[in-house]
Amino acid sequence: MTVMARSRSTGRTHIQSAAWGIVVECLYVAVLCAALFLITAAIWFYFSRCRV
Amino acid sequence: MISRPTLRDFSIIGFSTGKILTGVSLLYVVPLAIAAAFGEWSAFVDFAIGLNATLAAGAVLILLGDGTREPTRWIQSMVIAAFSWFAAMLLCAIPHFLSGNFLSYLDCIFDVMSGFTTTGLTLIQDLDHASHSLNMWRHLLTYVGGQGMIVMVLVFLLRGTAGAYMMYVGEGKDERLLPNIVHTSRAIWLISIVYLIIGTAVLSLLLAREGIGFPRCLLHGLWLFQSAWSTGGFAPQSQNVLYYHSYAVELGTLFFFVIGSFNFILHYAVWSGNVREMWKNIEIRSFTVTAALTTALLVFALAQLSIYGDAFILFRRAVYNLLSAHTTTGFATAYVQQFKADWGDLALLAMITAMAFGGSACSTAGGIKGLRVGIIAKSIYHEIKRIVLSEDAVFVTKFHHIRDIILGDQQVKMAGLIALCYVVLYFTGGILGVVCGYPFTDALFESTSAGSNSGLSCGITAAGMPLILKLYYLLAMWAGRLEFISLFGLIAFGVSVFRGK
Repeated sequence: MTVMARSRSTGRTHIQSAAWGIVVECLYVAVLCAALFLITAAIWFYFSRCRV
Repeated sequence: MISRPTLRDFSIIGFSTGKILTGVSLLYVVPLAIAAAFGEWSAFVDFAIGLNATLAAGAVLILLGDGTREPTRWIQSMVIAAFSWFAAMLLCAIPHFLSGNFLSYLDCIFDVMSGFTTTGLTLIQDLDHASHSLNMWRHLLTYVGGQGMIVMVLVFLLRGTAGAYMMYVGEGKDERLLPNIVHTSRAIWLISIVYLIIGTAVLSLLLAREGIGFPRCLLHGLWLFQSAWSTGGFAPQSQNVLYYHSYAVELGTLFFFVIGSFNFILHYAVWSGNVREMWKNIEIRSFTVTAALTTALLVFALAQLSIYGDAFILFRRAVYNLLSAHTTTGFATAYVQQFKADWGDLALLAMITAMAFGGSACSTAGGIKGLRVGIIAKSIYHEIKRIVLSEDAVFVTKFHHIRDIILGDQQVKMAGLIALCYVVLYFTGGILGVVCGYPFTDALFESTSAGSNSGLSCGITAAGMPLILKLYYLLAMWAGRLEFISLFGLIAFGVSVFRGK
């Protein structure tokens, strides 16, 4: 596999595709963390209201 | 009728095991170089002894073995996979034993098996003052174990060996990235090495920013990355990731251990331009749902007890430790005693559930795996649909894993069977822990941690723990990592030696 060869479907080189792949994987983790933070905040808010 | 293995079976198994051990012996070059660079001459001698012993064992097995070009049979391949892991564990423990950081050879074996299986439970003494080379060795074993010892040898030494695919399956990786198994192994290593460079650079910079000087920041960055990527859980300090007291380091390691728990096939697909796979894949969907549910349960348990002052601290403590458990990493930002004393039973049950589910198939992670959880969930949905629809209705249920796959009975049977084996493994350890005098929740937590190769501990794993429990956790780590099949193969082979005709 030559790293500078372009994919026929995306037109990107293998290095560009891999770099984009890494960005997408990091993006998933960021979205997951954001979603888990919202769940945490919602439950914490519910309990803090209960205590009041 | 069970056929008794012949001398030729033993010589074929011996030859391949010898090649794998020879490959493993090459790893000693790294700690030897570190020992020389930092003037740790006592450790240098320990590693030189270890290198010679491993190389000698490999060479003897190759000389006595039969290097046939014929494909190995399934049973032979399974025995090669299981036995290679066992032999490597015994031999790689030599530098541990000579280092003086362990109380017995069994503790050294435990630590090596924990590293190779990417578990992270440890019995090391005075970790904070261990040599750089010993730390390098422990983290290197974790990194290689994550990718797979046989995968590594396939890339460098076993190119021409027929039956390599079966050994690859025996190591708990049953999916190919590419039609050729050597190309698949090479792709796995390429992905891991690209991330190794990025991860070490990122974590080293974050540690330097926290005030850790050079070269310590580089070494700690490398070791933390190796542990995170391999979902291992070893760290160079006894307080684990908590030692750094850094939100940036926690976030950095979290990114790498979550990405490290992905299926290598998914990495390959996404890196090849198929980015939609990231949202469509059954394992990612299954992981997202189970992570959300177990997080909600853990946060509910902790919020109820009012342990943490605000939502941000609660998120930092709960989500980091939960994702560490779910990806079977084992990095912790809570003290061992805190799990037991402060978190309460419901929180521990949320952690146990997350560890039991585990990461993705064909990844560095352990546990039941997202693919199996997804298949079982889909089959439950299929059965409910069959009850709801009329008896004449003909329908199929599909799931997406690189391509659309129609759910078949065989897939459900295999997923259910392996999941059942894991549950039995977790609960047997739990019951054994109770027999040894520990509370059931603690015993189940520790047993699930060992069986799913997570490595989180609530205090049971220690040098002074009962011998029977130490041996059981050792077996659980081994069985969990190899996903039972090759271990069953080894047992079947042992039975055929005595009962075969």
